[in-house]
Parts: sequence; structure tokens; C-alpha cells
Amino acid sequence: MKPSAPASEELALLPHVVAYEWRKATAFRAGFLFNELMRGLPRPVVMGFVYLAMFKSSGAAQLGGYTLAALIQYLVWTAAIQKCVPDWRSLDLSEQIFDGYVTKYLVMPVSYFTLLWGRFIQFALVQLAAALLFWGAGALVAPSWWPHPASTVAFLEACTLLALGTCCYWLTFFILNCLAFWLDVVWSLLNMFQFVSAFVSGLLVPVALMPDRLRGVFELLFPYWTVNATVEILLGRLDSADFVRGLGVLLVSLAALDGLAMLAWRRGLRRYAGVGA
Amino acid sequence: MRGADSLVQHLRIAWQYARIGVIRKSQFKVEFWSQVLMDCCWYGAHVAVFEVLYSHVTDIAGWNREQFRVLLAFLFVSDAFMMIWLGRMWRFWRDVKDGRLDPFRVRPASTLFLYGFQEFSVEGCVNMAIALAYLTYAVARASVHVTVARVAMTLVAILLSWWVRTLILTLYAIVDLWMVGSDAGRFLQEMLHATADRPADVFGARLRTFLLYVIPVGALTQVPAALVLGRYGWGGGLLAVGWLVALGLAVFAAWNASFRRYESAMG
Repeated sequence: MKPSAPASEELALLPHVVAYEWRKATAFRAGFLFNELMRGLPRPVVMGFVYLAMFKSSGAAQLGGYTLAALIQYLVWTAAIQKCVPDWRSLDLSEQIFDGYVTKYLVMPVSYFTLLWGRFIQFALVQLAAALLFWGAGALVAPSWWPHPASTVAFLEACTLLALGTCCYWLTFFILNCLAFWLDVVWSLLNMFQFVSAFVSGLLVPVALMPDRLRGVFELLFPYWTVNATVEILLGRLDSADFVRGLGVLLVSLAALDGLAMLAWRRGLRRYAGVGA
Repeated sequence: MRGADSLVQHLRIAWQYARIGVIRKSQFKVEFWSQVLMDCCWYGAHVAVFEVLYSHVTDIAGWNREQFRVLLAFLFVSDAFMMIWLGRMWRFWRDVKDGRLDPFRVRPASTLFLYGFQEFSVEGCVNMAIALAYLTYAVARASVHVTVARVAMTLVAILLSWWVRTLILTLYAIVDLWMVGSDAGRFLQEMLHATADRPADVFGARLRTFLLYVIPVGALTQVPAALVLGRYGWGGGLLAVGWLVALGLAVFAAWNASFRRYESAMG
């Protein structure tokens, strides 16, 4: 049985993991620019043109309660927030399971989850910086129409939902990666989750524009509270009561996903033979 | 090698790739259905987004809901073509970085063909069937008068969407050859997906021309859809198709020239 380190020791190792992951992410500078800084920008830009065309052709002042200016602001916030949301490339555990490289983690004196959360912190720090850079640059260039948080409270509420939501995404990607213990290849499952969650979260189109019944279902799921609700709180379209509801959904999701992640990892390791597929 | 012999040689290689693809996929049965389902989710997300948008307006940049479905259908058809034959191009940036292209320089056929078409996907064929079914539904709903000429035009449009998809992936691969380790090709893929599923008509005239005939991500869907819907006259249609074919040939030649930069260990 592998010796396990005390929790304090694992915690002390976290900054080292973060530092190594940071070095890896910045090893190729141009890659860092494209992957971290420019990621997620083309879609909102193009959608801005689509909304413009929709307002032009319909002549309406509002669509689904949104004016054109509000929709553009929605796009700006989603672009910033999308940077903070993990995607299928954030973890490479499934490839390591497929190749049989997980063995090295099993002989480490610390839990694999130290590495997992170290990576998450590195990811969150870089993406948060990229999102702030994006928002700050826009606020400098176009201060008159660039969106600002509706209030300080709204900003804090949005940050809370985003932090919990990104943890949910991270654990979901971890669980999906763990399925490689059984399925060998999970690339399509990761993508499938990405497509569905992009729609549910309001990244592709604001949930407010969708039919009421669909919206009711989406409000039970964490992607909605990570992106759409966070943006609407920043825009002042949702209030503190909504925030509390979102907090509840995210905390329950987080607890469930955390339990599922531990279970998937433990059960998966029982099947792991260390030779790859 | 004469033109006909070369074509036969390439077809033989494609057949072998297809055979190997079927054998490989028999090893991962869950992944097979999972990929079919994945693409259905992708189709579903696209259809849902625009059905939501069209529930608020009747027209987006001169495209009504029925016409828009035809445009989306060409996105699906060209994507299924990529899934069937060009799946490896997704990982070109990584293979260049790792120096894994050596076997493809042996040249029993075109290097680009040998590399790009190496991963035949059976699940892509299922997705192609779904995409073609959606295209048939979309064309029928768009009230296009069905004539032999229109059917022929639809077939030409399908071939054109496949051609443009190959062209665009090759164009992005050139960027990866010049900017090794930059992931620029992957970012451009993101741009492609952001731009190709909506009509280029939403943009201003200059940007629209650029996206239709220079990069040409807009041509992946808008030009084939416009051909089927009769939005081009014969002259305009021929000119657009001729230009995109010529552009493709130029891009393939540029890829061959750029590939000379490749070294076994570039990353």
C-alpha cells in the first residue's frame, strides 16, 4: 500500500504543482497567446453581427427582453466568462489512462487529487488574468458602451457563482476522463458534454431567448448558473434571490460531482492494469 | 505517373485506408456510437440555436428559416465529410510539433493525401447519412422547384462543400507548418466553426467577400446553399465554383511548398 502524505504536506505541494503547470502552459508562447488569450473570442464577435442583422431585419426594439445593446453586453460578458470555464482540453487524464501512464501517480506519496486541484488553480489563475485583460482592454478602448457590473454586490455574487461553476465543470471533465478506465476512448463523450453544456449554459444564445419550459429545465443544471445566470447578474437582470437559488444548485451539484469523481477514480483504478489499451 | 494512373493509385490507397478504418473501429464499439451521438448533439445544438433565433425574427440578413436550414445542412454535410476522411487533420498541429510526419514523405502518393485521408471513420458515414437526410428535408422545405438540373446542382453543391472543407483544413495546416507549436491552426478552427454556421451576408460587403472567396469559411455553407436555392445566376455560380476550385488547387500547391519546411523534430 502506498504511503500517503498528511493533508498539510499535500497542501504545501500545491504551489509547486501550480508553478510546474504554469511553466508547461507557457512553454510555447504563441500557443499560449492563441490557447489562453484569444480562446472563445470569435464566436461572440460573429454572434454580434448576427444580432445586428436580426434587429435590422425585424425592426424590433427588443428580442426576448433584450435590446441590441444589452445583447452585445451579454456577448462581452460571456466571452470573458467562457475564458474561465474549463473545456475538454483542460485535462489529459483519459489519454494517460489509454497509454497506461497513470502508474506514476499511484506511486507518488501524495494523492492524485493534489495534482488535479493544482492544475485547476493554475488554470483558474491564468484564465482569470486573461478574462480581466480582455475586459480591461475593452473598458479602456470603448468605455462608453463596454459593460460594467451592475453593482459591487452583483460582482461578488457573479464571482461566487463562477468559482463554484468552474469547479463543477472541472469535476465533470475529470469524471468523463475517468470513464476511459472502462471505455478506453472518451474523446467524443467530452465533446458531447461540451456541445450540450454550451447550449444549456447560454454560451451559444441567451437562455432568456429560449422557450419558458426549456429555461425551467436549464435552471436546474450547473452550466446555466455558471454562465447565463452569472452574466445576467452582472447585467442586473437577476437579483440576490436568484443568486441564492443558483448557489443552492451549484453547491448540490458540486457535492454530487465530488462524490462521483472519487468513486470513478477509485473504481477505475481497480480496473487499471498499467499497460494501456 | 500519368493522371489516370495517379488517380487509380490514390483510390487504391483510399480503399486501404477505409478497410483499416473499419478494422480499427471494430475495436472501440462504444466510441463508435458515442461519436455518432456526439455529432447528433452537435447538429442538435446548431439547429436549436437558430430555431430559437428564428422564433423571434422571420429573416436574418436576407435568409429566412427554410433557407437557413439548407445552409446549416451544408455545414453538416461538409462536417460529416471531414469526420469520414479528414479526422487526422485535427491533430496536424500536434503531429508537426512531434515530428510524426516522416512516413508520409515516402511519397507513393501525394503527402497531403496520404496524411490527411489516413483515418477513415465508419461513424462519419452514419453521420453523413443523417446530414444528407437533413439536407433533403431542408431543400424540400425551402420549396425549391425540383428539376433534374436542381438535383444536379445539389450534387455539385455537396461536392463543393467537401472541396471547400478540404481547402480550409489545408489552409490552416499551412499556418501550423509556419508557426510550429503555436496552436494557430486550432484557433482558426474555432474561427471556422464560429463563422461557417451562419450566412456571410450578416457581415459588411468587404468582410463578406473576404470570408466567401479568400479564407473562405463562408463558402463552406453559403455558396453551396446559394447554388441550390438559386440565389446565384448561372454565370455567377460558375464563377464562384471556378474560383473556389482554383483557390483550392493553389492552396494545395502552397501546402506542398510549405511542407518543405518540415523537419523530423520541430517542436
